[in-house]
Order: sequence, then structure tokens, then C-alpha cells
Amino acid sequence: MDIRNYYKVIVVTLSFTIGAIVKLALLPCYHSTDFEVHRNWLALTHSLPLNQWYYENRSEWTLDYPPLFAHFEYGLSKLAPYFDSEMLDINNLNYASGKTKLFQRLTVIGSEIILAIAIFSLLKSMQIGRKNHDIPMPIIQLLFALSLLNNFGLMLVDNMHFQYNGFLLGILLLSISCMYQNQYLMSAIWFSTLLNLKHIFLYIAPAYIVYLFYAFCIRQSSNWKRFIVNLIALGIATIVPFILSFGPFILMNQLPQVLSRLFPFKRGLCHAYWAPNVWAIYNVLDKGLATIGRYTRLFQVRSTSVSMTSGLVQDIEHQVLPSITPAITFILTIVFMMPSLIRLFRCCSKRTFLETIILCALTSFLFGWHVHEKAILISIIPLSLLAFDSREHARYFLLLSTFGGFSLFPLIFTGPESMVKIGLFIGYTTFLFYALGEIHGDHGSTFNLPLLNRLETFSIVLLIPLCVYVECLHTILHIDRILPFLPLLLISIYCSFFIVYCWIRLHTIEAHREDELTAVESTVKFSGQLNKKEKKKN
Amino acid sequence: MDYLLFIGLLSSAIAMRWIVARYPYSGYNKPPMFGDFEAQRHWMEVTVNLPINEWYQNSSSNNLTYWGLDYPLLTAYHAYICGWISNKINPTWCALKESHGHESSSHKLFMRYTVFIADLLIYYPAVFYVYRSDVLNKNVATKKLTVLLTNLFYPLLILIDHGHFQYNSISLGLALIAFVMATQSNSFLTSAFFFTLSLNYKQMELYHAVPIFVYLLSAYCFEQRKIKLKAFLSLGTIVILTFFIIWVPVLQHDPIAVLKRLFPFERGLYEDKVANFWCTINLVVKLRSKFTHEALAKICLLTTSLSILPSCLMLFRRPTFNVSLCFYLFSFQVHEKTILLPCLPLMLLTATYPIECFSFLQFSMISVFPLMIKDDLVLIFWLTFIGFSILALQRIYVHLNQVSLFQLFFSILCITATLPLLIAAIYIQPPSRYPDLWVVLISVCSCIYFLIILVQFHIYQFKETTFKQNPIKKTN
Repeated sequence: MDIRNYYKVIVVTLSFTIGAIVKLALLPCYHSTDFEVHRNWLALTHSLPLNQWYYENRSEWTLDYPPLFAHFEYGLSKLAPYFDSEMLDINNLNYASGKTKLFQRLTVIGSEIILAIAIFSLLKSMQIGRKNHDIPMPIIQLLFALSLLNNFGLMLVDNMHFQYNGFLLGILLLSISCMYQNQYLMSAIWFSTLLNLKHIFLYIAPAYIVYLFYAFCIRQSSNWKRFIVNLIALGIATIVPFILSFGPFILMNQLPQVLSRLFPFKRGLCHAYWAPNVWAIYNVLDKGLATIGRYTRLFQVRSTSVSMTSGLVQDIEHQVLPSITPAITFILTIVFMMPSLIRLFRCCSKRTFLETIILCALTSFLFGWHVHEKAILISIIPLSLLAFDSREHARYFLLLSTFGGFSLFPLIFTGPESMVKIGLFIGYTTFLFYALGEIHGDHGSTFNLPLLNRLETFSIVLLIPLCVYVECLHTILHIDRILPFLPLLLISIYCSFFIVYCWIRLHTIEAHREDELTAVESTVKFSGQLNKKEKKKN
Repeated sequence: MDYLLFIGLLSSAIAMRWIVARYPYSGYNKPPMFGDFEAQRHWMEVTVNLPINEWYQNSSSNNLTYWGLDYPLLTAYHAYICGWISNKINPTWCALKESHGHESSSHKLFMRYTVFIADLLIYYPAVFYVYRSDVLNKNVATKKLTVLLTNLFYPLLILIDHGHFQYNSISLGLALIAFVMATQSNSFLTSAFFFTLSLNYKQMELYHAVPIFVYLLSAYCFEQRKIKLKAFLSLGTIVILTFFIIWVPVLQHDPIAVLKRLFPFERGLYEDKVANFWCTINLVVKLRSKFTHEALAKICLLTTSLSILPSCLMLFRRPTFNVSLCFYLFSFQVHEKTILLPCLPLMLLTATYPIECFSFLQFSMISVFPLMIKDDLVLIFWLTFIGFSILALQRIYVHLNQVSLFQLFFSILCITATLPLLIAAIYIQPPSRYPDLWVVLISVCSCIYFLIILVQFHIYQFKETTFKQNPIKKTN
């Protein structure tokens, strides 16, 4: 290995250790039903043959991840007996002994080694962090690694709520890093593996399709023959993971059953807790119009059987505005993805590709059908790759991670954890502001947080009263008896405005102008040296 | 920009405390006596339900053998306030006699909140006050940051307050304010006031009382070997007045009974295996069989005062903070948690003597390890220990120019040599002849290390006093 890479190993190991310490310390914290979901999958894959995996329904938490993830759980179940073999009993519902908790939490932390490896490979392959002449490069890279491995959202969702997002996003980053090293086929393999682990990454598949097709098939081929060879190679690379994962089920004629488990369109437009997206605004608008309509009788209000705010995961009907079907959300998502995809087609750089990934993820988050609030992580994590490099991206990264992180608050609602959650959130957010402010040379002032303007700062400061209301005033004032879902509604509405704002502004960043700016800056700073070099050349 | 850093550090410190608070407390599910958590709850119960003259008295409704109140009055008042609030929330938490051993998750949450609020009101302001007016570090930003970080993230304090359950941060915070105020010439009276408060919260603060008394006396009441009567009198008045105001409610009844509760000489030389001098000596000479209680008490008093004498004399000329360490090592009847007291001044010195202080802080954690096993806090102990080691190494790296490498290697060697003992203490059953083998070995090791550091600090102190005569400034 190149000697310059050793310090990168140290950087990644150090940040992984720090992250692992915090995450291990969260061991006894509250975990959601997702803990039981994954325990059930462990038991299910361990004790049943392959052909029953997607038919099993003893627990209400049926297997709804793609087959490769089921195989991953099967692998984990081989380790489980060393801790507690009781958890592998499929009839042992809601089993959560101390050893089981330890094992499951450890698997999450252990699987994040993939994320650490991905970060190492990113540090090698792309330039993280602009050349700032005050802060040495290793420190910037350390901050970058820390910001990913101690990411608040990931920690909340993975290590408290319980899921395996860190590991999955690690694979996404590995694939991006392969792209930066021009290993297009490897990148395609990683990405289709990822799709077979969790199909939510279909959100960003358009960006991959466009970029791989353009950069690998068109740009790299001088003639038709070459083009076809590349296309076939790409096709094989993409399809092999699919065959490995879905092949057995196709052979057993179970594909429709598997797909019906993977895409449950019977679930409603919004999740039980509304993700902060366009539909949250839409729902509230409908609710408001319905109330106005009922009093003023200006327009017709349809009566519905189910209230949207009752928190049940099922189909909801709107009272004034037209009801939304999955097809509409699908079309809207595609339409709003188009601008970024067209831009990617027109200027096919790696940076644009990364931007397109972020925009695709964000668009699907905003317009998708039954979106979980956790899906915001898919756009935050890739955006952090750009944030250390470009000032404008840093700005929207800060906004997005603040509001995205805050919108995850309702996931953890138990008493002892609420202060942990708030403390970690403020700690992580101020760390990001401080670090990015130092890197981009903006230290903020009394009324401005670093990199933000006054209005954005104000909107972030407003989170404090909102947080106070949601976390304590709501119960103390006994509003929870009248309006039990008001806090969730407030959080998702408030955050959704700013996520939409970030989404619009991210479209407008001209990546290349930004690049030129950095280039100009460095030439100004090192003009003396440059002139010398030019003279030598002459 | 600085305020961002502060908010970040503060909220990470809070998050760390709440993570620790998620772990079990001492005596969880261990009837009949439970642990320190039950003691604090019981005090709330007693103070809320009984009139003030019965707080320290044995009576039919106050059984002193069951966690009788044995801290000074400020603790009792604090317990009263907390008990009053808990009565408002849920009367069963503090019902007289019926609530013994009460355990519920909501009550645990309430108790954790009381510690959190105490921290918020006293400890954090103290820490930030130290940061703002730190005379030891002559306004060097990195040094001040080191002290701030150590104060905020020192794990033992967090483990004992938020894990094991006690309110050390109140008395320590007050003492911290007193220390810093004592170094500023215009606020030595407020310093005396705060220190008296701290002393009235926990009598353990007597460890710090000697140095701070000597210091205040030498710095403000004597000038060219002449006593400044006005300063001396005002100092005395402040101390006595504060004492008087706090003790007024008991003075009418029976202050002697309270004093007897506060200084229980009949309890013996040491309770558990503690990393102090007596416990170590006891391996060689069985002191307790040779001497009576009173004789032992006198011996302790004598050795303690002898051991603090030289450093007090030097302190009289120039202040440093190693007296409380002497007290810990030599004094009578020490809990292992008392190690927090010498740690407090050392936290302030981390920027001046990084290696000695950090390794001492590490060893102080090691010395309470047996308690952590008892409380089921082993996992979080290791995590915070490793985390703090990373922090310490980073800070030592920052201050590398004032560090002797030999000392660094020696300290690391000492710590790594002790670690196998800790692992053995968890996993290896000690031989039946010596059931306390690991515990004693751990305390002996830490005691030896404490002695080394003690000698070292005496040397430093001596050097500083001699340097003072010369105009040469020590390059820190």
C-alpha cells in the first residue's frame, strides 16, 4: 500500500472506534418493533427452508426485504447460537433477552465495518474536502469520517430504533467510490447487490442507469461493436446479483408472492408517522380546506370513514382535494426527476452523477408512495460527500441534515431516551456547523450560523421552541388528550417546508461554476508559485 | 463562533450523562438494603414526611440503621425539595415507610432528572466559570480547552452520579467555584461562602478545607508576616454566618446528634477494600487486631496531618492542590468514591501536567472498578474508559512539548499492567481462601500509583515554590 494511505487507515479506524464506543453505549436504549422484525427474520431464515421464507406469516412482521437480505439474516443466524439460541425459535414471538439484544446490536455495529471500508475507499478515490490552507488535509478527512460514522440520523435509526442502514449505505458508498475509480462494472455489481438487499434504493436507480449507460457504454466505446460489448457486459454485471437472489424463487414459481411482499401498495399514501414530504403538506392542506369548507360551505366536503391523523397504516381518502393513487405519485416522481436526469445526460461528470443521486433520492422522498421518514438518509449521506468540498452543497447539507435529523425525533419517544436524542442531535449538528464553517472559512456571526443566511438561521432556531413543545409542553399542558398527533404533524409539516426548499435549491447549484471558483481561488492564492511553474515551462 | 463549540460540547456532555443514566443504578433489585439510590430516595421520604428535628434522630418512624441521613444539612434540604416535587408527581414514591425499596421506571426517570437538573444548575455553570476565568493557564486557548474537556467528560464523575447514583456534582461544583474564586483577589469572600456551602453539602469536602483555608489565610490575611485584621475578621464572619444560617433549624434542637451522624468514628478504618494507604498496609500488618478503635483513629489523624504538613507549608507560600490526595490516602473511613475529591483539583491541572493528571484520572477509574462490577456498570465503564483514553491521548498530543516521554511510557505501562487484573476480576473466580483477591490487588496497585503521583506532586510543588523567588517564569 502507498505510504500516504496509512494515515487514512488511522483516520477511519479512529472514527470507527469513536462511533463504536457511542453506539455500544446505546445498547440498553429503547428499540422499536423493528428489533422484533429482525429477530423474527433471524428465526425464520434459520428454521424454515427457502421455499417458505416468503409464505411464513406466524408473526405479523413478515419478510419484506429482498432475498439477499434474507440470506444476510441467515448468515447472522449461524452466529446467534453463540449468544442465545432461544431467539432462533420461530414461535418465540417478542423475545428480547439481554443476550439477544447484545447480539442484535452487535450485528448492527459490526456490519458498519462495511461503511468504514467504504469511507476508506472514498478517501483514496475522490477528493474529499477542498484545499483549505488553514486546516491540514488529514484533519478534514477525519472530520469527514467522523461525520459519517457518527451520523446522528444513522445512530438514531440503526442503533436506537434498530435497522441496518449503515451497512446498506456503506455498500452504496462503495459503489460510488468504484465509480470514481472508473470501475464501472464493479460499481454496477455493488449497486445491484444493494438493490437486492433493500429495494428502497430503487429511488436512485435512474441516476445509475443514465450515468452507466452514458459514461460506460457511449463514452467509452469508439465504434458500434465496442458499444454492444460494453452494453452486454453491463447487463450481465447488473443481472448476476438479481439471478443469485431471485433465481431460486423464480424456479419455485414464487416470484409473484415475493413481489407482493416487497411492494405492499395496499399500505397508505403516508406512513403512520407522516414523513416530511409533499404529501404531508397536501394532507394538511386538505384538512384545512375541509374545515373551512364545512363552516363556509364554499365547496363540497366528502365525508370519509377513516381519519388521516388516526395513525393507522391504511388507505386514506382526502376530503376536498383529489385523492392520490400510487400511479400519480409514480408519475410525479418520474416527472420531477427528469430535470436532474437530463442535466446528467448533458454534462456527464462524476460530480453531476453524485448530485443526481442526491436529487433522485430527495425527489422520491418528497413524492413517493408510503415513504418512511428514514428514507431521508439516502440523500443526506451522499450529500455529505460533496459538503466538505463545495460551499453551496455544504449549506444545503447542513439544512437538510438538521431538518432531516429533527424529523426523525418521533421515532424515539420514550422518557429516558428523549434527552439522549436531543443531546446527540444538538451535539452532532453543532459539530457539523463548526467543522464545515471552519473548512469553508465562514465563522458565522451573532445572527448567522456559519454558511447560512439570516432566514435559514432563524428557521433553525425556531426548532428549539418546537422541540420544547413536542417533548414536554404537549404532555404537561394535556393537549395530548385532545390532539394526540399534533406534535408529529407539526414536526413533519415544519421540516417538509425546508426539505422542499433544499430540494429546489439543490437543483439550482451549478456544479461547474463552483469548481471554477475553487480553481480561481487557489490560483489567486498560489499565483506566485504558479507563475514560477509557468516560467519554468516556458 | 465559540458559542457553537460550547453548545456542542455541553450537549454532548449531557447526552453522555443520559446514556449512562440508561444503565442500572446501585442496588437495583437487591433487597433488603438496596443501594445508594435507595438511600437518596429514603432521605427524600424522611425529610418530606418528618419535622426537621427528627431528621437525624432515631425514632419509630425514622430507623437510622436503614440508610439514616448522614450528610450535612444542605443535602437534607436538597432531599426535601426533591421529595416535595416527587410528592406532587406521585405520592407513592415517597410514602413514609411504605415506599422502602420502591422501584419503577418512572421513578428512576424522575431521580435521574433530579441529578440532571442539579448538574445544570451548579456543575455546568461552575465548569464554564472555570473556563472563563482560568488563571492557571494564562489564557492559552488549547490549555483552557483541555481543562474544559476534562471537566465535562471525566467519566468517573458521570458514572458515579448518573450510573451509581449520587449528587457529587453539587458539592464538587461548589468547590470548583470556590477554588477559582480563591485565585482572584477581589472575590475571596465569595470563595469562602461557596466553599462553606460545599462543605455543608458533603462533609467529605473537609479534604479540601485544609488547603483552601491555608491558602485564603496566606493570600489575603497575611501581608509581610503581619495579620490583616479586617480581612481575617470578614473571612471569619462570612464562614460563621453561612454556617449559622444553614444550621439554624437544628441549633434549636440537638446539633450534637447531627454531628455524631456526620462523623461516625465507630465505623472503623475502612469499609470496603479501598485504594488507600491503610488498606495496603493491612496486607502486611493486621492493624485492626493490634490496636483499638480510638488508637487507630488517633494514628490516622496524626499520619494525615503529618503527611499534609509539608505541602501545607509550601502552600502557605504558593498554592497548588495536592493536599486532598494526602487525605484520601491516609484518612480514616474512606469510601472508594472519595477519590473524586483529589480528582477535582487534578482536573484543573490537566493542562499543566497532562500526563500525570490524565493517568491519575485513569487510575482513579480503575480503583473504583470493583464498585462498577457490583453495580453492573462494567460495559459502560469500559466504553467510557476507552473513550477517555482517546481524549487523554489527543490532549497529550496537543501539549506534546511540555511532556516527558519517559513519564508517558511509564504511565501507559502502569495502566496496561493493571488492565489484566480488571479482566481477571470479571472472569476469573478468585481462590476460595482469598475471596477478595482481585479487589485487594486492584486497590494495592492504584494505591502505589497514587503514592508515586503524590510524591511527584510534592516535588512539583516544591519546585514551584523555589521558582517563585526567582523572576524566571516556568515555561508551561
